[in-house]
Amino acid sequence: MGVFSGGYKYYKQATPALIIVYTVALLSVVIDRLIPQATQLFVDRVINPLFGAESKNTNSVFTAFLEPIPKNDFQTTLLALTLLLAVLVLARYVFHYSRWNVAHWFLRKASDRNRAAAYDHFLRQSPLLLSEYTSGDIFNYMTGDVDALMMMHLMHIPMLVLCLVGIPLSVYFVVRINPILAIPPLVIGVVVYIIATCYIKAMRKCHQAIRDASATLNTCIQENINGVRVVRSFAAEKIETDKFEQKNQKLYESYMATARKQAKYSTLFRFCAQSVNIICIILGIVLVATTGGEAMSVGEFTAFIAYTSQINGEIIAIATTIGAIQHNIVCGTRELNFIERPLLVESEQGAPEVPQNADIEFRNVKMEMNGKVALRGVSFTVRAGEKVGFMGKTGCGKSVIMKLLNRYYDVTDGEILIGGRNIKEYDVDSVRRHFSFVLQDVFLFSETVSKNIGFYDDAANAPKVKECAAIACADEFVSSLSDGYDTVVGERGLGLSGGQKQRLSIARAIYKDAPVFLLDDCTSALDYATEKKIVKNIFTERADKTVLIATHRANSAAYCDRIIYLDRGQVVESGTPQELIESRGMFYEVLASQREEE
Amino acid sequence: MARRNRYYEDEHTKKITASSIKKALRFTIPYRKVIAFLFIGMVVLGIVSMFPTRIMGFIVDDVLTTKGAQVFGYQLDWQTLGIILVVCYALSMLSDSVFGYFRIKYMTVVGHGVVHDMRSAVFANLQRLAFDYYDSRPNGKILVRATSYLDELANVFSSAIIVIVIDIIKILCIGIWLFLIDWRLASVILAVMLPLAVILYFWRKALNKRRRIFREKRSNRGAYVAETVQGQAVINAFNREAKNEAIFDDINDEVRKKFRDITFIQEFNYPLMDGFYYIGLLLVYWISFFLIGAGNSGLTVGLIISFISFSGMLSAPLNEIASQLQEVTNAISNLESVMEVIETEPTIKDKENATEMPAIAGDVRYDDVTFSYDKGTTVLEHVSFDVPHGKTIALVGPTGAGKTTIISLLSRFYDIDSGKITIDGIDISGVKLDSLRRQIGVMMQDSFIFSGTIIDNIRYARPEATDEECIEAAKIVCADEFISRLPDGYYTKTVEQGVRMSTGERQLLSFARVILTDPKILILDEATASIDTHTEQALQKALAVVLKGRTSFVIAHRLSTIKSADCIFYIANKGIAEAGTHESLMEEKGRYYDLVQNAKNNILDE
Repeated sequence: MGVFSGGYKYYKQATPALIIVYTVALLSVVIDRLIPQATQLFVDRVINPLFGAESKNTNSVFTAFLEPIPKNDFQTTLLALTLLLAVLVLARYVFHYSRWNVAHWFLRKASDRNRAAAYDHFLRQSPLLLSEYTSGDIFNYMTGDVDALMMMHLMHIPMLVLCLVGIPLSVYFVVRINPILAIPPLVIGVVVYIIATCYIKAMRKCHQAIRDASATLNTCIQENINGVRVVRSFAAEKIETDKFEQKNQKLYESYMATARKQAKYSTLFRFCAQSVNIICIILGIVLVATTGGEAMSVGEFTAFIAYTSQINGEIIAIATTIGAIQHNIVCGTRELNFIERPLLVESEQGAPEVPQNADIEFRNVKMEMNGKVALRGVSFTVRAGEKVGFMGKTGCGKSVIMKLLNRYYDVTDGEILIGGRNIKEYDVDSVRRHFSFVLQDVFLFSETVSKNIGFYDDAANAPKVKECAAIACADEFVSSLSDGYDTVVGERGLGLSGGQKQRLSIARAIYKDAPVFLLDDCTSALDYATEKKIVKNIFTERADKTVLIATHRANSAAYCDRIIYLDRGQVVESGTPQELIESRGMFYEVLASQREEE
Repeated sequence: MARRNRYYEDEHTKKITASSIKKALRFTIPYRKVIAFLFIGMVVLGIVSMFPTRIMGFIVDDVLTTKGAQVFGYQLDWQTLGIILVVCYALSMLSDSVFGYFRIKYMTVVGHGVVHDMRSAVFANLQRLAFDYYDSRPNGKILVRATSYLDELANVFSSAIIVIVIDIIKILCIGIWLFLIDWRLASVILAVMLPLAVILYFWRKALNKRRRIFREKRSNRGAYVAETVQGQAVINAFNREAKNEAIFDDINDEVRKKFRDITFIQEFNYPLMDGFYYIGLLLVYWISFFLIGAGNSGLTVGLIISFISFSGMLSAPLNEIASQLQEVTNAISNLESVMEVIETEPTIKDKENATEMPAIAGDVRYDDVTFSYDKGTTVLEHVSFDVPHGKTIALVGPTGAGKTTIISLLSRFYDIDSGKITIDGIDISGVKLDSLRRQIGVMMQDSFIFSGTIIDNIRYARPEATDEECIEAAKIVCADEFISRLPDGYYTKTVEQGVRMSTGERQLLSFARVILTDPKILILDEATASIDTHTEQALQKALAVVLKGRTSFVIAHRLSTIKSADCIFYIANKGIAEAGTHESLMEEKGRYYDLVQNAKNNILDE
């Protein structure tokens, strides 16, 4: 089963701990069976003889322990038994305490390895593949699902193992008392096994339904938190609540469906468990009564009762545990499937680093994603140090070019070359280090302004943060904030205007100071004057950098050495601004219309 | 802006108060009949299950002693007793099976029912809470409250509380039986139980404290994960994978260490409970030993055996209480966070005697409005203006001057410090939020796309709209072209952040969403910033039609949009620095003039 082999990878290091845990737990199981052997002697060697009943042969594993004590020295016997019981019970407590402390610490550590792997995998997986998952799902992979897998190793499998060891052991001690008594547990054991297999199948389906319903619900809640401003502006609270209630209800119903199945099966389990218990007891009584105590002493009878109730309890525990394990398997499988899905973009170990002053070349690049053709044969070259503007309609493929360069995904056909070498041959990390990328979507972290700008190396350098902010025209407004650079902003930069957020994200990229700047339509919320200033600043203050700017504003593009105009995934015009103006093509049209506006 | 909590800062939720617990328990009221059923069932079952044990004692007496068994003065032999025993067992088994079936079902009804209701309450209040609540903590910390924390509560309401009560009743019942059997032995057990209660009290208190610390750390982790999920692209772009993983490892270590602190004391539960039982048991042996030694004790073997069996029955509920208490402790610490969401009063809400906002004509008036996000640092001071219905106002000015702030006050996203905002002469602070916001269409800088399909997103605020109406709206805002190119057209699936769509496309889509609601007042906040010139130009023509008859506030950078406005506000210095038509402002040669010149130079540079 995938969950066991796949999931165990993360728990391998915990093997010594697991051995300790299982050993200690198994010892506890043994002690649990030994305690009735001791209490049996209390009855047969102390209480019963005190009433003058003749001391019958009593068969306990501890009989030899009492050998040195004279049979009629009840007080010493009682003292010895008290000590024996105390030792057994105390050992069990020590085992219990150490078992759980060891188990929690080491298995949680293992589970954190698993969690880190999920986190790691998520970070390195291509956004293209990730878009197939909802964020509720992904959140679960790193939280609830990992925990479910841990609970399986920590609690449920050990529990099942212990029951499966405990029941035969109890039966063994029952046989020691009287072999006939072992028949009912063995018969019922077969019945329980059959019920259990059906139960497992039914539970798997139920827990899948629960997991699905819960992920859908979580996504709904998450969207409402992230999109709270949209919900409020439409006064759509009622609509959202209706949507939510549907999902909430569905989750409840999936729990109820599971409960109905559980009720059915666990009633069967309980019925079996109790039948064993009762048949055994009646059998025992008949045995004792008909043989006048020959078949079994009173003490043995009490021990026997203890064993039947242990068997009873453990059959019921098996039922609960296998239900829980199904839940763990469902969650764990999803998480492991996520982790094991190969990375879309990967580089070989020891792959070369991208050279510093490298030309970038697109050679007949085709890109198709989600059934949509984004680029259909794009070719161009950007020389090191060149400033190139990309223009074209919404959805023409400008962003795709930027993302391909960052290897968020790879081309469907054609080649991207950096320094004459295919981009795929380089180390992914080094490719991304080669670019200072400002994404179209502004995302700021719940952090101070200075940590957001200095995100690349956690703002080790305060003067540099300020300098970069100044280049991005952000220094002035940041300084006017109540806590200046120490002001904490939110995920979507709540509290800042769109333009302010864009400037921070530009400053963040400048701070990274990579050889190539990629600016993907990141000045849209800025006024002309500010945009112009930022572009000018970058071109002068970082004159040695290669810059690729995707923009809708012809005047920004006009600053560049060269302009590439895209339409529906194809390069339709390319040349210096002057050339494009002279050729009176699409760029000229846009420039003219934007001039006309004024 | 409110002080914002970060992923590594613990949020110190208040310790839960009695009134919060009471409020939480109120969620069980709808299920009181089911709970009563469970309760009665368990008590009956508890009592029924006690008979066989006592009968067994009698049997032992009959079989093993010459005296035979005396049952309430009757001499009964073991065969008769055996039959009674079988009947008792059959009864208890039957009732256990029947009741067991309903118990599992009804426990789920209660547990998940209560969680369902609580989640609804959490969600409902999240829909009421104003932006300051969302602004002051990472989204992930809100998310865990509405999801994982609640999930963990189900068991408490379905079983833990009932089980604990039942167990206490069981213990009492067994105690009474014990006293009936032999008061001397019973007092021994009682004497041992009392100190146990005291120890338990302190144990639980210590555990509670550690649980709370653990939960805060875990909530930090949730926040970090949620942030990572949203910021993945940025993390990639900045080569932060390794660094973030290191941070994540640290957070995990922290969480784990806090859990270790819990297990250190938590795992004493079983030795504590079970230990007391064995101390009691041994005492019973010793005391019976001395009593029998003293002679004429009135004890019989059967009696002692049933006494021991009974006191043995104590160990099950004691152990159960120990493990359930663990869960309740955990739950209470979760409940603190959950109740905090439910009980937080929104800072912006309908006034007590709020009226419905009648159909808006669109006369907007700001009267000496002063506003601050944080007390002390005002963002706007003494802003006054009058906009007759149907007019279009363009807001211009440097980024961060407060353009977005001014217009977000109109939807009452924030309450103003002083002054008055009226629409058609009605003070907006006195009307129902819902009726106000429904008539104002806001198109924000951030266009959030919900998961579903394209057409679902357009239909968002008007679920009853037909497909044709949605497509019509998309055509108006020139979104039809790109939507038609998508693989499934209007029925293409969208993921939350619209990953597959460009920012411009998302803006068009949310524009269609606004247009469909046919608002009387329209607010466009950089609504078309990421849309290309070509589409924008087509959109402008459509916009002229759309804006007709609506009062509109437009924040834009394109001069063509600004020029066509009826009035232009230049926002600076915490208020409106200049106001007028394009022509009049150009003549004034003030800051607006500079702005326009700047933009022109910009283009003519080449």
